[in-house]
Amino acid sequence: MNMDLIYIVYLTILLLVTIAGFMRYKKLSKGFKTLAVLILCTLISESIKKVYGKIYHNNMPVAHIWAVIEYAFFSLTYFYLLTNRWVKKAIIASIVAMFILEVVNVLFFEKLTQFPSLILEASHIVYVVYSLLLFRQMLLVPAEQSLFKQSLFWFNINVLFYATTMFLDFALLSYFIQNKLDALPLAYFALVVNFIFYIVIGISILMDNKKENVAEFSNG
Amino acid sequence: MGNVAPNASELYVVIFSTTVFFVFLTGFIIYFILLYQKRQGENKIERDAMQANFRQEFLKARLEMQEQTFAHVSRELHDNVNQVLSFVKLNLAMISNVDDEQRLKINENRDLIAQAITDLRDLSKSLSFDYITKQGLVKAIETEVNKLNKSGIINASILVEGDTYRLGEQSELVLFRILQEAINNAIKHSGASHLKINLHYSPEMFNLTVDDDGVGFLPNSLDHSTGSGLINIENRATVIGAAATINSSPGNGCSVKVTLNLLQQRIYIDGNHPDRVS
Repeated sequence: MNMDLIYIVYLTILLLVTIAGFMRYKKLSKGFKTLAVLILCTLISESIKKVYGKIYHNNMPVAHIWAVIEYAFFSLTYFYLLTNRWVKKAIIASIVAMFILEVVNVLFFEKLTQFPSLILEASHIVYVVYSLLLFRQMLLVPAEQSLFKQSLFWFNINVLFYATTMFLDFALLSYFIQNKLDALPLAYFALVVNFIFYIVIGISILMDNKKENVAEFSNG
Repeated sequence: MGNVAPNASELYVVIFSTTVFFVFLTGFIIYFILLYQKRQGENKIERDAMQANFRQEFLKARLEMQEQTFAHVSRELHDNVNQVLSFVKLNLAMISNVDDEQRLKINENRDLIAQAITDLRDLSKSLSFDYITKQGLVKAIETEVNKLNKSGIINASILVEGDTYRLGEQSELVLFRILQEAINNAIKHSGASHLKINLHYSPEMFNLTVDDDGVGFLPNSLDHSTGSGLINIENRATVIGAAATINSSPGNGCSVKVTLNLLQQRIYIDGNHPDRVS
């Protein structure tokens, strides 16, 4: 399959989700506003990556910078969605820790020209923790609304699916490369997971309503 | 790092691990959904119970206020208006130096005032909490029936079945107020000529039924004023843990039935709702 075509589809999905996010921006809760900005930044970063890759034949420096920024945005999203004070403090601390880890990673483990797998894997583990914490919070304060009509549920389940699946994908990729197996199916698998991830984010942005979420969190 | 080709067992482990991963992930999601729905159900039950409790307390407070107003009006009628009327009647009796025609007029007026005093005393009694609780439900209803028959507005009859027993001060008071509301509705809206009141006492159950032979109505087509009277009946019944059912259709009169399950009511009374209004 033509990778350029896949990339165009990918960017189109991001663009559509960004448009949805900014059209509904005023109606979104704080967490989802952050998410809308994150998607816009993802669109910009992915575009820069493509251009950078064409010019320098290696877009990994952009990937390194983006990995930290993406983590910060996701953390900020969960910062607004989670209500526990200690968890909020831990989230802020984790953003600083991730930045330090990235510096250490670039200096000692994975150079700017290499794929930032360490940061991405660490991020995915933290996303799983965030997701489980939000599930716990949802169970402690269940909303009246049907679970399937809640933006929070779709977003959170999406993050859990994405983070765990991508973690598995990285692990398998490493195994495949080590054993000189054809890693192309895994690359396609990662693409499909990414597509699903951004489409479901778009759906959750369309479903989100500031008023409902405010009512939910005020109970907590 | 050695580039060793994977053997079949290694690949199986990879496939198995991947399968286990997805099964676990799906299992977790299903478990979460089920648990969340269970919590939602529990929360809904809790919320409904709280709302019902609040509604009950609100109704009780409203009835308490209403009883206080009734008691105040009853006292005023008895201590003030009745006294003034008695004084007027006495003054009329003391008028002398009048001719026969004037004496006849004075006596007519004295009779009218005496009638007004009796009516007001009856009204005062029917409003008085103490009078109703002292008399008991059956006696109080009998008095009400006699008053109605004397007034000639409507012909009322009462039938008591079973061995009577006391239902508790609050229950009897509320049942009496329900009866008054039903009578009031029948007189105001139904155009009925006859009213049948039935009290049925059985060891586990008490039933109060008020049937009229009026024009009847479609329960869904009530205007606000008529509807609120019937809603009042239902609300009052709820306060004592009874159930009120109102049956009517055009041309077939109206039947108001209040059922008090005594076993349930005992639990109810022993719970958070003491059997006392004021």
